[in-house]
Amino acid sequence: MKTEITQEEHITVVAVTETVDALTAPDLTRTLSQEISGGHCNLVVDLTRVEFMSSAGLRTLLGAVKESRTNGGDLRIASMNPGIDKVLKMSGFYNVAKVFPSQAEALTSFSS
Amino acid sequence: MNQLDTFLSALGHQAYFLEPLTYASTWLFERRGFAYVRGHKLMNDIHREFQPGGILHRCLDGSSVFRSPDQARSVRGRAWAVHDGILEALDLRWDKIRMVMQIGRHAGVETFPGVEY
Amino acid sequence: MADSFRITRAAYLESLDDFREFLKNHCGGLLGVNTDLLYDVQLAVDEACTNIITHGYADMDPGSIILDLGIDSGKLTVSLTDFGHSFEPDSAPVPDVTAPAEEREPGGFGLFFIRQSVDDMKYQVTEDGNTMILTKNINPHDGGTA
Repeated sequence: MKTEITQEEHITVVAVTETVDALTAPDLTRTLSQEISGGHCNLVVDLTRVEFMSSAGLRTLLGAVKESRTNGGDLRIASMNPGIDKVLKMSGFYNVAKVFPSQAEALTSFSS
Repeated sequence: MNQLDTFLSALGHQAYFLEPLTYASTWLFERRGFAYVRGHKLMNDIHREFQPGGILHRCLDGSSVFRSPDQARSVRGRAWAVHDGILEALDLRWDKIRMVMQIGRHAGVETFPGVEY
Repeated sequence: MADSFRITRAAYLESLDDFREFLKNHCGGLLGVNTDLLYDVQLAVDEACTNIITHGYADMDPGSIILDLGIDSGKLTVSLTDFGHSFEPDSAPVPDVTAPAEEREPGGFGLFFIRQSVDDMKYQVTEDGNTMILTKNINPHDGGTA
């Protein structure tokens, strides 16, 4: 799993690639936690280039959503892979956080 | 199926278990089709560290007759080093390996591939 | 005509990728690579193996996970055998998927995802090991698991 972090004005984009499973999810947890504790509480996690994600990844995302909101911000997801979308839907993640089909749309959502 | 397999199968067993005594016998059992109840990770770790660049490979420095560099490349050579205590370098022991043979089914495990005994 | 394939790996997290690749290589032709069906099978296997690795072989030098894949007309069967602690599939709590973020418990999705991804799950515990058998209908006319 690889992450690339960029700043888009007051929003931090964490673009994830390859796979988020039980082996690699802790790295993503650490990365997101670091951003949030560093004051970057508005985040877009871009999963559009992730090939595979399991419930381990879901746990990471749920934890990071909670943490970002506790710190006064929010975490939104960009996701295009139908398999990952199914994981998000099955778990009711859509009831918890906002998911968009592209990074651009996720970013725009922060200004409305 | 060989005679032992046939016998056990007739008794209603689907698998049998054993504890191999040496690195060499473990390798032989893998070739027979055994998988691991315990110790698969240990065997993978041993293989990784006997490769060039690994900790066990570095320990084969010729300091004794059981630490000859070419031992990394053969099952027998590795077995000599293992039973001479080389695993201490990894803070590990040759211990608690347990294997399982599912009757009539080869597990296809190869922790040290591409080598003859 | 039925086909069967087998892969055995050590029960640690580094092996998860090997199992995914194996399924892609052997089912990809039949199910299509990057399709929902393949993802479903990979997900169910990934969750089951993660459980074996983190709970089944907890506190011991792990043994093997043996994956047997059977492909028969209209049906895909994956058996996962391990030799660690067994578990109780019916006692795992079902996560509340309608709860908002603040009320979510961190765990509990593994078995739930397995059940959502395949059409049948059986779990057998014998003195010869623990085997989880996952079945997925792949005949598009059967509907299967949407």
